[in-house]
Amino acid sequence: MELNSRSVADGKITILEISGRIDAYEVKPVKEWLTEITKISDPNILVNLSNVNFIDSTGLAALVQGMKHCRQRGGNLRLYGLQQPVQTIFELTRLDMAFEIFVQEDEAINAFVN
Amino acid sequence: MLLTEPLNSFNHQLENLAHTWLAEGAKSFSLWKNDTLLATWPTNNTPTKNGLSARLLINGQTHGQIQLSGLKGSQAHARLQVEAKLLSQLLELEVELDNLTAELIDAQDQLVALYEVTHSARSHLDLNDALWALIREIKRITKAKGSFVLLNVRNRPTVVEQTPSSLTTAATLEYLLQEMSEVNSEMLLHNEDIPGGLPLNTNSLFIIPIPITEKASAVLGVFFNQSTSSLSPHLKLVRAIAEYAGSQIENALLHEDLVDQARIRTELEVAARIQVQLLPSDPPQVSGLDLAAGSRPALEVGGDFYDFIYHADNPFTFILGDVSGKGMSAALLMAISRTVLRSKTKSSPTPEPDIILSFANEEMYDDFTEVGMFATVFVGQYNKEQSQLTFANAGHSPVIYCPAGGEAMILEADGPAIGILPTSLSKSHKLPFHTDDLLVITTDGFNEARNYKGEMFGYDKLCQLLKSAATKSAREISDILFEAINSFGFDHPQDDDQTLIVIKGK
Repeated sequence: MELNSRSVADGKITILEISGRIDAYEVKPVKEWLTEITKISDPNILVNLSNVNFIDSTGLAALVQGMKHCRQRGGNLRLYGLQQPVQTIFELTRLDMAFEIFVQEDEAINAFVN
Repeated sequence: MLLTEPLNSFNHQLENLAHTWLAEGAKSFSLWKNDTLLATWPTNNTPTKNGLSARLLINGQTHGQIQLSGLKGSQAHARLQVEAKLLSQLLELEVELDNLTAELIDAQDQLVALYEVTHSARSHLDLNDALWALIREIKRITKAKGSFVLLNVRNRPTVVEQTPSSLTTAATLEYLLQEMSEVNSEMLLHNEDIPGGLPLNTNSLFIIPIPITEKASAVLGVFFNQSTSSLSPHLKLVRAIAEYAGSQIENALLHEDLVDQARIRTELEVAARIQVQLLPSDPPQVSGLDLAAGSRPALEVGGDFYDFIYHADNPFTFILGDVSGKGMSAALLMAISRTVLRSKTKSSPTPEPDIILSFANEEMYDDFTEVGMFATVFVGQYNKEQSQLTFANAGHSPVIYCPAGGEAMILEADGPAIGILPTSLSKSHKLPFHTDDLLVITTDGFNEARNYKGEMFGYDKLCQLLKSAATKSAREISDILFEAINSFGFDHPQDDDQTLIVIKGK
C-alpha cells in the first residue's frame, strides 16, 4: 500500500491518494495520517480510492473515524473514484449512507467549495 | 627501577665481569643509574664517575651505565662497550619476560573475575538481581569503594542499582547519565569533574557504557580510592566485565520478555475461554426451525458474535454481529455489544429488530466513536404462526436467503453499522419463511477468505455453495461452509474471524 497527499483549492482541501489494499495489516499509516491531519480546524479531506482494490472492516473503520473527526472539527471527509469491488463493499455495508462519495475528483472538490 | 630489579638476576654475571676486570688491573667496576650507585666491586671501595663507561640501553633508551676505573685505552673501552651491549640484550629479554608475566597475571585475573561474575550472575535471571550481582562482584573483585549501574530500557523508567546503597545522589546519577549520553565512551572522573564532588573516601570514578541492543543502554560506574597510576589493571578488568555485562543484561531482558509473553498468553487463553462461553453452546430447540451456528476467531479472541434469545412470550430472536478489527480490542467491544443487544431484546415487551438496533446504536455510538470502531449487526426474529422472519440489518453482509428450490440471493442492509451515525437508519423487514427455506448469515471472514494467490472466496461462490447444499440439514450446511473456506484458504493464514448462523424452515 502507498500513501501520497497533495493540497488543492489554495490549500483548503487535502487529497489523500491511497493505492493497494487497505486491511488490518496495512491500515496503520492511513490511521496515523488521518489522526494527524484532522488535528487542525476545518479539516477538509478528500480520499482518492481509485487505486484501492480491497478494503476490509479495519480499513473502513479508519475512514469512518477520519470522517467523524473531520465533522467534529467543522470539516468533512469525502471519497471519490471507488473501484467496483470497493463500491460494492460500501453499498453492502451501507457506508454509502454515511460518506459522501463521488466519481470524479472535480465533483468532490466542488462539493467542498460549495 | 627498571634496572634495579633485573640487576638482581644478573648479579652473578656482573660479579664475574667485575672480577675479570679487577684481575686485569682495574681499580673498580661499578653499576650506575643516572648518578646513583647501584653496585660496585670491590665492595669496600667508593668509586667516582670518572674512567671508562658504557651505557646500558633497553629498547634504545639509556637505563644505566657500567663504569670502569684504573684502566685506560681504546681496547679496554671497546671491550667494556661490548659487555654493556650484551648486558643490555639480557636486560631487554628480562624486561620482556616481566611484561609477559604481568600480562599473563592480568589475563588470569580477568578470567577468574569474569568467571566469578558469570557464576554469580548465572543464578540471577531476574533483571534487578542480575544487575545487583554484577555491581557487587565488581566492587569485590576490583577492591573498589562502590559501584553502580544505570539501565535505560525504551519506554521504561531508568533502573538504578548501587552498592553501597546510598553512595551517590540522584542528582549525580542524572548528571552522569546526561554526560554519558553525549560522550558515550569511558571516562575517568575526579572530584572536580562532578558537580557536588565525589563521595567521601573516594578519589576517582570510572564510568563506562555497557554495549546492549538499540532498545536499551546501560552505564557502569566504579568508585576507587587508589592512585590513578595503580588503577590500570582494575580499569582493564572493569572494561572486560562491561563488555560481558551487555549480554548478561540482554539475557535478563529477554527472560523478562518471555515471562511477560507467557503472562499475556495465559490471559489471552482465559479471555478466549470466557468469549467462547459468551456464545451459545448449542442452538435452542425452536419449533419450525432447524438451527446451527459456529465461530472461529482468527486470533485467540475476536470481534464476531452470535446469540439466540428465546425469552418468555417474545418471538425467538437471533443476532449475529461483527466488530471491526481483530484481537482484544474487538473482543472487548464484542462483549459489550452482545450484552446491550441481549438485554434490550429481553427487557423490551415488543423487541422489534429495528428498535433493538436503534437502542444499541444510541447506547454504544459514543464508545465506538471514541475508539474508532463499529459493529455490523443483523437481528432476526421468527414468527411461526405467520411463517415469517422479521429482520433489521445494520451494515451486515453477507446475509443470504435461499427459498426452497429457488436461487440464493444476498439480502442487503439498509443502514450502516452501529457506531457510524448517531441515529440508526435500519428498518425492520419481513420475509416469508416456510419449510426448507434457508437463511444463512456469515461474517465477512467467509466471503473475504483468501487463498495463497490472494484470491477471495467471494459472494458468488458462497451463494452457489449454499444453493447446492440447501437440501441438507442446518448442521451439515454449516460444516460444508466451514470446510469449503478451510480447503480454499488452507495455504493462507486466516485473516479474519469466521462466524455463521444457519436457519432452515422445517
